[in-house]
Amino acid sequence: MESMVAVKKETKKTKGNEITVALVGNPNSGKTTVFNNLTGAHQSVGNWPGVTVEKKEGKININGEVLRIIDLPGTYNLGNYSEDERIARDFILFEKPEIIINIVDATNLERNLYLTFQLLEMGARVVLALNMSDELKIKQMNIDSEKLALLIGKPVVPTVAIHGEGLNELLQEVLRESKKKDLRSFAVDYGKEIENEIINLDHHLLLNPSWENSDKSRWFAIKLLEGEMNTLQKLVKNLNIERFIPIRDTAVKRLENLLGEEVESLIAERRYDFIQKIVAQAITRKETSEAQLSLSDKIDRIVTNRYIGIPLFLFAMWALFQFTFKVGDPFIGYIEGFFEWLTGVIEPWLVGLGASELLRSFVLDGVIGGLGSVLVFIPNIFLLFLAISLLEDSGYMARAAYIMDRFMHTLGLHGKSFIPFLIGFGCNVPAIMATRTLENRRDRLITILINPLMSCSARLPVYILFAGAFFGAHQGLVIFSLYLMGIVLAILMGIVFKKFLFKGESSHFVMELPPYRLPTLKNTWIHIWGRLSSFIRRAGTIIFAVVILIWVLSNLPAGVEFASQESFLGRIGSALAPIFKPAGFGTWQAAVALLFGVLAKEVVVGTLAVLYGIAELGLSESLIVHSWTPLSAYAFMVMTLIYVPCVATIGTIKRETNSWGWTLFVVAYTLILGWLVAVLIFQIGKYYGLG
Amino acid sequence: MEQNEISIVFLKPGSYAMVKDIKAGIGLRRRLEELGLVRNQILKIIKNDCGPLIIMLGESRLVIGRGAAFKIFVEEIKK
Repeated sequence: MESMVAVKKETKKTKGNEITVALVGNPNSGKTTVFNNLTGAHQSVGNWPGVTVEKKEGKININGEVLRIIDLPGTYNLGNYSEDERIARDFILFEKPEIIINIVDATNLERNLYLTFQLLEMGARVVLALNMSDELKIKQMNIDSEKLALLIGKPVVPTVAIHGEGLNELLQEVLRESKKKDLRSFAVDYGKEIENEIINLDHHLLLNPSWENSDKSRWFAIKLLEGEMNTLQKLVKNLNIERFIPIRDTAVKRLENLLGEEVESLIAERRYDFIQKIVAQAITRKETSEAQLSLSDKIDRIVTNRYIGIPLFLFAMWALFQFTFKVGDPFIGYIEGFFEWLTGVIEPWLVGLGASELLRSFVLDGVIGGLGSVLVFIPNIFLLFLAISLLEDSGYMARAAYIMDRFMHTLGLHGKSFIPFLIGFGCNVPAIMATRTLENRRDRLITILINPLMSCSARLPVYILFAGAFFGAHQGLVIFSLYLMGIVLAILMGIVFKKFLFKGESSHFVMELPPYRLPTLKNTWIHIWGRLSSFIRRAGTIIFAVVILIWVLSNLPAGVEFASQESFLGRIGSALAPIFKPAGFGTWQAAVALLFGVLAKEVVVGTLAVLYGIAELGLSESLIVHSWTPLSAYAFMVMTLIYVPCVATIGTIKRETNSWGWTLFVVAYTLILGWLVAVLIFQIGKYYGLG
Repeated sequence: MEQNEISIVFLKPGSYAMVKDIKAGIGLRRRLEELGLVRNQILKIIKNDCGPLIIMLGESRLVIGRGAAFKIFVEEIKK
């Protein structure tokens, strides 16, 4: 909410030289790259109020002027049918940015111009960035940007955003355009019949006493024909749009009788006709044989092949995880080593200062321990983000969604939901962030709700400990069974949610397959850094706060032995322990370990070690002594698999759904489900004497 | 529906067709229209064996789930 208020204040004040510039463009047009290159590291990421789409904003200085650049969500259209387009459109209409930079994929000009023409019809001040213009040569196409500029009446600047080319010229055009006083209007020719109706409606609109935005009356007339009454009403306060509905309906009937098609489709058709006529004048293509396949198509022949596709994909995923964890582990070692060294340095220093034991414990166990528990994630998370970034930017992600679409249908979802699940096996945080690509809110929510059931890598240490201690030679099988259980439960819960929580039609799988592209180092880095820094900030503050809290609870009441049964923590554990009795692990240590596990799953093992009072090496043996059995161990692992996602994930869910309701729902249902399944397994096992 | 109108799900890879009609609700129609699937546009079927179809429309490649593809009616063009 705060950032939106700040935006409103600034546009109302129009601080001196500050010019608001919005970036608009199709997905895959390189818009984000343009934004990243223009704003570099000086950007802030937030949320559009009430919605779940990332809002990026940055400021730059050029020629002594300050430009405030807002990256609007990628969209194909400015209608009313998806959150993305509503956000983009509302921003343009209500925040009224001075200039709009429309980023267009030069290799796909016609489709991209559909959006451009919407902007032009709105009367926006547009500067066109003809991006990816280096790829035109490969396709043996040439675009005369000056001709195009003449035809649409707006400046056109060829750019190659990934290399930073053309961006300076782009900004110069933006500044130039911002100084222009006259606004040339632009009109699409919709054909005789529709034009007649538009003129008629326009006439009627203007008959009324002057209303806000009446200079856009032609645009209003077109939107009326398209049936967008709600949008229009939001825009004009002193005009009752409802009065025009009868006139509009007659006009629509007339057109549909005359031309035999729905008005909205007709309008879309005529737009494309008009676009194609314009583009034909600015583009030259060399004669190519249609049979020639592009490199992307050739790669796709293999990648999406019905027999090779899935195995290839599974191999790629396996390689990805190997990479993330094999390469990341040594770095984790370094970080742990660093913290050990830090402790070794600070402890004697504190003692030297005469600090009380409590203060020492606070600094060492609390602050440094807390920081350590957050930072220890970073190598793996960084590599995971790197891998995800590469998969997305290269275009392979889209193929993955295609390949796994059939499997996703069993959950009532489609291909695009697959990617977050995959990432979830590594870490739920980036997985949930990845659900942004799902346009349908229902699909997105379901995907987020069942994501925590994908066993993330942090739970693995728990499995290894218990499976190793109690199942010896069969530990691999046991651990595999847990992963499988997670998947099965995710499928079941997905079906349940779809049936009972979100009734309605399933959405259609319609997705653009971008050509394969080689990601550049610079852009990948900017991509990762943005996500990584916001992850650290969010997860860091939450986890850090919880660590301090747990430290406090372990040390009170005063004088108690650290993390003993008499401390508050131990008492809480003892209070909770009975709940877990039916599940086979009703000890206060287990309860405390699970509690710690809420902040980070890896911590469960370390906690048990502390609580049983021995070094981790001896933990397996101690477990057997302390009344753990194979059955109770398995039940405990199941509980770890299912119950409450870690605090970082909870924080991410809250941010992505923008709703405490859903966040608490996830916490509640995973807790209950985990308990139920653990109890079920233990009780059934005991009944059959597997005890 | 005219006689030579057929849903794209029945076309083989490599075939060309001209879009005639999209028999779907406004939501899907808008979604497809904004991607360029309007009457008289020419598309090419790239893949149509199992799972969603892949078509070429102008310069873009689109993945279209079978359910949606079923509603896209075209007239095949022999080239």
